Amino acid sequence: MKKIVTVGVAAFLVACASSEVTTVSPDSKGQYQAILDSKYPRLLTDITAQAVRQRVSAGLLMASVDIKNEDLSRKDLQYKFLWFDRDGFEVQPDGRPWTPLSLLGEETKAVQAVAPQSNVVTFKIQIEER
Amino acid sequence: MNKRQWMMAAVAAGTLTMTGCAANPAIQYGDATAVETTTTGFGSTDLQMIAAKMVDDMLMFPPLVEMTAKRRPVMFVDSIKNKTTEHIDTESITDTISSKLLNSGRFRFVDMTAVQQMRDQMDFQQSGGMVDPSTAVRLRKQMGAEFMLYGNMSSIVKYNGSVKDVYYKFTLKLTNLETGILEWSGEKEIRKTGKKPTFGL
Repeated sequence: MKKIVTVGVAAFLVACASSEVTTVSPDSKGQYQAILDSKYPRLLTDITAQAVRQRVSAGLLMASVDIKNEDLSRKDLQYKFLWFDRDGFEVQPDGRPWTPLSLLGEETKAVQAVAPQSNVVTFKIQIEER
Repeated sequence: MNKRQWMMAAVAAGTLTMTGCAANPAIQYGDATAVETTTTGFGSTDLQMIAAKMVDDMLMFPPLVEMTAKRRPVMFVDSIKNKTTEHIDTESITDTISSKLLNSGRFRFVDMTAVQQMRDQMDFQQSGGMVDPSTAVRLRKQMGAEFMLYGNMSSIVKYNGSVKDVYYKFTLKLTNLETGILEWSGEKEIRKTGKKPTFGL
């Protein structure tokens, strides 16, 4: 059975900090947090989101997340970005594919993506073990 | 249980198994965006990864960001040259890319694959004698494309015993038709390695 970890990523624009999406919680400095949630505690300890970055360019949100394999053995993962508008509706469901990602022991890689439309204000990244 | 009872039980179990198979065919709907690793050949995941990377790169390229800030340039998609040894439907790749670019609200396209159909419809409206002339589309009003999108797809395939290594490189280019200047170019590389099983095909 595949282990699933969902990284709920705070990726609001500062102006949209009062959005109704409850999984997002930017701190007082407007920094964005990664909220890891999984039904499988082992995966939570094996994979961590080291840094969450975002910027808006020409009205489109660009998201970047550093994913680290805390384990010493290689991990074959796949990830997928999900995009949401200010009302919490997913924008273009199935618009992004699951993308394979292999991490050697203790390796960190940055994954990034650009929102498909300008009405996107937040995102999530789902990570699964293949 | 005697021999006869064993026989009857076996027949009953077989009948139930066959009935079950007939009633529940092994067909399922899957996730179209799932990672597909059936073979080392070009697959749906490769197509989706290429399209996502090209669109992301184009939308974030600073000169294009500046250009599309106030207007939506018109583009047309030329073919992608398939230089691999596989049959790859490259139009499917460009269809996905152009759909994503169009939906981003940054670009517009003229569809060169529908030119003949549009011409037929215009001829029908103009000279068919069946369309109210006041509602017929006016000629010479279509917009010309400012940019051309085109590219290449190549591969390197190597074998080492039972191991097969496939490297794909997809290159997409955006050229200004008036000036001939290459405004943007993006690349996506994919490496896939497969190993034949010791037994079987």
